[in-house]
Amino acid sequence: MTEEVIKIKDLKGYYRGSFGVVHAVDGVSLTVNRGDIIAIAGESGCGKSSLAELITGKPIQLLQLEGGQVFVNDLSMYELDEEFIRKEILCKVIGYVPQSSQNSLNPVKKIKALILDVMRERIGRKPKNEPKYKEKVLQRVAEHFKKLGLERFVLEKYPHELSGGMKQRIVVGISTLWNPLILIVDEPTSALDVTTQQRLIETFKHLKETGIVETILFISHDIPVLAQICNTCIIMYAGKIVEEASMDDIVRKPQHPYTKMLINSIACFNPDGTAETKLEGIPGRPPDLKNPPIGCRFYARCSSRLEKCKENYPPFFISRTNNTPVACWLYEEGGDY
Amino acid sequence: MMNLTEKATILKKEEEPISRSSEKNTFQKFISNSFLHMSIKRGIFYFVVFFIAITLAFLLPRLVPGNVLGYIYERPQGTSPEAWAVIIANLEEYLGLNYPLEIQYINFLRSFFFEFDLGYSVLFSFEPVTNIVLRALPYTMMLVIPVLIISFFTGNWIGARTGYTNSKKDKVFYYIFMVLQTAPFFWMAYVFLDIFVLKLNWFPWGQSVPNWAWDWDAISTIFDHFWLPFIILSLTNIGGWATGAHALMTYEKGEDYISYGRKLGFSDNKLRKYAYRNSMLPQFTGLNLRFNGLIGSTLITEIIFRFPGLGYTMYDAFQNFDYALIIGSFIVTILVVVIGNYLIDMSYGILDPRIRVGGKGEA
Amino acid sequence: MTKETQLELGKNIGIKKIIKEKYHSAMDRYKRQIILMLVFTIVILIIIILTIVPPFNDPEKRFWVTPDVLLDNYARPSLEHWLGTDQLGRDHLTRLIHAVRNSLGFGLLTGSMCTVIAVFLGVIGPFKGGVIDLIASFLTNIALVFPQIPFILLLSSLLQIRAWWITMLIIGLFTWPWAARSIRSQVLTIKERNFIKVSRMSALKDMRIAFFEVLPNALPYVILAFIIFLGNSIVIEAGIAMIGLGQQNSLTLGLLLNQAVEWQWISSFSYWLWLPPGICLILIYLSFFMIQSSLSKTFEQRTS
Ligand SMILES: Nc1ncnc2c1ncn2[C@@H]1O[C@H](COP(=O)(O)OP(=O)(O)O)[C@@H](O)[C@H]1O
Ligand SMILES: [Mg+2]
Repeated sequence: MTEEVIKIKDLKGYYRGSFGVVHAVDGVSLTVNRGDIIAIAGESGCGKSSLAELITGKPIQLLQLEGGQVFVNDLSMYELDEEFIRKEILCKVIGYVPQSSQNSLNPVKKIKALILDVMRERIGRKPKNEPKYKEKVLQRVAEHFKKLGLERFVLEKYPHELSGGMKQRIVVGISTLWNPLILIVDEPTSALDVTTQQRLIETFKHLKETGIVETILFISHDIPVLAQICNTCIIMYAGKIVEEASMDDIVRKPQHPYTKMLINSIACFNPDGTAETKLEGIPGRPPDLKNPPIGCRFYARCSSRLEKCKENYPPFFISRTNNTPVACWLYEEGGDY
Repeated sequence: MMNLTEKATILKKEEEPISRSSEKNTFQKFISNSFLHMSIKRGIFYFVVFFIAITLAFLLPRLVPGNVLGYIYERPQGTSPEAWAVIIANLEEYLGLNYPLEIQYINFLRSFFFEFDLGYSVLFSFEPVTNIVLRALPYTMMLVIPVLIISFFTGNWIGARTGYTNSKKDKVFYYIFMVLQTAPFFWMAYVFLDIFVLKLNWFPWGQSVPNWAWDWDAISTIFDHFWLPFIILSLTNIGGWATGAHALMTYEKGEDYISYGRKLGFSDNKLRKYAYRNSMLPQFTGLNLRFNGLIGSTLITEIIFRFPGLGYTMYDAFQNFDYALIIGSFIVTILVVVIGNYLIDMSYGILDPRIRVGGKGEA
Repeated sequence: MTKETQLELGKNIGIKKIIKEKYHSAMDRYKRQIILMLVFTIVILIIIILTIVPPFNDPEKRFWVTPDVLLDNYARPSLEHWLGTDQLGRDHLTRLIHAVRNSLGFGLLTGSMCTVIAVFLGVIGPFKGGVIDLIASFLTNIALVFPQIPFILLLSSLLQIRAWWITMLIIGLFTWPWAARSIRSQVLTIKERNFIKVSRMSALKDMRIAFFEVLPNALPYVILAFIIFLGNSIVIEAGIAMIGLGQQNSLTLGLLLNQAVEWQWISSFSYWLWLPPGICLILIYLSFFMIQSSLSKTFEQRTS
């Protein structure tokens, strides 16, 4: 019944450069079903953006594909023709909102001109015998933007004349022009102030409600924000997935030691402003991804580590409490830690 | 309720085009006003620069240590005493040495601005300097303008291309031009002279270049003399533009709007065009300085190749102690520089609307 | 727990992350620039050492003329004369080394002079303010569009004295403006920083602040300007000396090239005479250029 929009199998992507090899994405498998709103959470630098980069087409420049497969709508992404990906996959199947939407609009083009460029690049030149083609296109775009709470006048502006939140929503608007099956959003809220963040989250909810996009892959380090819209959460650590569960379970009953610490490190305050629990940071730093440890990657920072964690990387075990996969030796015998 | 909202939307629809068109009108007015404003401001600035330059040109010969005229009063061989007397009379009249300095200055300015009179040349048998200089001007311009345009576009293209693709083959090109840029062009000129003129005999050298005329012989002879200086100047200038464009491009291609464009399904061609255009804009601001530098190197190259432009005329005059001609060609050179700078400023103002509205500040 | 505080927290993490990413990539590029810089600094140092140590800087050989000029002139490179001899039978290598040393010295002096002018005009404006600022920046703006080489040609042809200090003055007076401008803008930004404001309040004298508090902070730019001036003035001197408008008293690379023209070394197939000075000139200028460009890239990354 459920339809798999994206299926990732043992995906590996490394940065290779003069600095060495950075194992940014190191064996990630996950499935996104139609209608899901999935969160990918983790500390900064754990490879979330790199994962998104790998999903949205053949990686370029330093990031190189090292193995694994991505299926988009049952098509193996890396076997597809580049031209096909460009015309048929991007925007139509996968919409992408980049990490830095603030700078993602060409600074010397009006929004209008940029959108017309997108149209021309994707559809081809305008048909000859259709009068007022441009106006029609722009009319359609304006209607689309209206659903995101953008007025028509933004089309006439240069990016530097618009506010940060506005630019962000314009990027979301452009990325969803073709109603993609799945929208991948990378850290949309981190550069915005609180109220703008809130409005942006409302926008995403609205997108889902109106059916413009049904499936969203939401990448952020910010669990409180994720908790507001996502129903499933995947926790990443140092290039690998350590736990997958529903959002509620992650917040209420975290299983993996890393997830526990992550949840504990979120500050909780009483309404009167006194701290309820003391803020617990995670001691230590994430491992250097240039030469990651052979064993569990969280070993050095883990408070409940075992002997074998040092030498062997844990496969996924099913935790009994949540009945969800956890990559930790503590759950080896289906035990409950 | 329904009615109200409907009315509101209708009102809005009616309002929209009106407000937009009026906005556009005021905007256009604003642009044209500030453009006018800017052109006047820059015009005054360059006039002041020019004025200072000709004042210096007036003062310097009178202020330098050593008696400048001492050299002139030594009669060169081959000049009859009668002719020499006329020369001296002419010179004294030109320099107005009998008058006090202020009067000389006013006379100098008046004759320049109202009659475009720069005195008479000793070297060219008392021809008005203005004529000689105007004859030399096209030779300089036929070097400066094509070199500026060609090196600007080629250099930017090479730099941007190597910066964008980063492929090994392109890199070789880039490094060649980078080293060429650091090579002193006057030395290169002599090396080329040695190889192409003296060894291979491909180009003429040392014969006099004919005056501009619309007949085939003259033009082809002029162009025979033209190629070598042109090539030297272009080669050494392309490197400068290429290094700048390369740096700008490596920065530009990492910009987020490029990677977002890729995710939107832009073709690589289009993205490259975006990056080219945006990385080239800042290069326009460097055009002024490069133009000034180019004028300088053109003058020196002319001297080396004996190409009869302003530089060579000046050098020739210098070797024959023809002061009126030195100063005349100097003033016209400054005039070229000032007008060129002004035109560059204006065209940049037209190209980039942000400058026009924001104002470029000083200089 | 209120949403606002959580979100605030998230925002802080986000900012830290952005800083970290920049740092990461900057370190990587740093390395290359620093290596480049070191390589070319070593080249320059080798050149300087070669011109100073005794075996290459032999004053006896330098103006040594063989008894029979006709026999020994224009000798090809040999074991005895590594770069051959010139028209008077003098050892060309010794002369070349001497010229390089003089050129470097000339560059050093002229470069310092330009830097002093640029620093003075760049610093005095923002601190004295008012009319002085206006005059300083107006001077700079005008000098910026003033064509240098026509002026240098004019002055060289007017002045009948041919001494190195005249060339130095001429070059020094016309090449400083762009540096004055960039130093000025640096000083303006530095001035706005807090610690300067504090010392202003504590009633230190303006110029004291300018030269003891602000200038050290603008030092990277001053150093950059100095290196660029150094390379440029060596090349400009060579250029005007080569076409015969420069000084003719001390042997510089320019004067060697001038002799190459006067004695028609170029057309007389004595490549060993005219090739080395040009290559030295390229090497020196290229080294300064590379040092300067890698320095400025590292500075840029540090400040951004
Ligand atoms: N261009 C790059 N070159 C080298 N390493 C990189 C580059 N971009 C990211 N990395 C490294 O890859 C890892 C994952 O980065 P990223 O995917 O951006 O993490 P996240 O999005 O989770 O913050 C980090 O350790 C980072 O240092
Ligand atoms: Mg990221």
